[in-house]
Amino acid sequence: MSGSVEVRRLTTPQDLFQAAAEEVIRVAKAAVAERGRFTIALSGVRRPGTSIP
Amino acid sequence: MRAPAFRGRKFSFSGATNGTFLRRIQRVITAWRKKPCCQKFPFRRRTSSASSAKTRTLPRRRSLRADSAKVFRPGTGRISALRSDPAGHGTGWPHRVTVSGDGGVAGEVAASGGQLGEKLNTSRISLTLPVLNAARQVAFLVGGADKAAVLHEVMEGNAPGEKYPSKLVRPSEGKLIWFVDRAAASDLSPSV
Repeated sequence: MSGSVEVRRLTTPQDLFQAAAEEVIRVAKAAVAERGRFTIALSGVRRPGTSIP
Repeated sequence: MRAPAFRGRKFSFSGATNGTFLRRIQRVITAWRKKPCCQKFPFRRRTSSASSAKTRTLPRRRSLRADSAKVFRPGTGRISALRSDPAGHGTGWPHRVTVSGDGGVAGEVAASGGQLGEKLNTSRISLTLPVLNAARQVAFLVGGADKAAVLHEVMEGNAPGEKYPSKLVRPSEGKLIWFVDRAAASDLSPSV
């Protein structure tokens, strides 16, 4: 089975972080509802940390 | 309030009086102070000469045990959020990205200071491609004009994945999302 690829274009970096944060929340809720557990691995440095809800 | 029962008693150490006992303790402490650090604290790990004393030197590579590797079977991880640096390396640690693997069953965690780790005074853990590609969802966050050229190369170029490991991140049973801002996407064609 092959995975899907999606590109989401946002206007500003703030929009980018907002969209990523909302995606994390959406996936987290779905995972908890489905399996009672959500796991996430974040890379280092700065950018992904901005998306942490 | 009653005085402690031992007040006024003389303590002995191998039959010695208080003064002798204290002198013996002082000699033990003096001898201990003269010992080299590694003998004083045998439980302390040796530190790298290039890194700060606060930074522990971890093993260069530590393979996951079999019972840990099963966590990374395809589709079992939930989400991985990555950042793409200007050079197109998915993790930002180019010298540690592993571009080969057995398709996702076995994962490997590298923990070491590394050149950049020492620069930032930290240790790190690198997830390799088989682990990343076993995630249910992977997200790249790419922002800034300095990423435009490399994002174009990663998304539409013909360069091999060994040059841009971000191209090799393809969850086998999951979803890959690129979050890009306008500046980073300025070199992308509208069809992407």
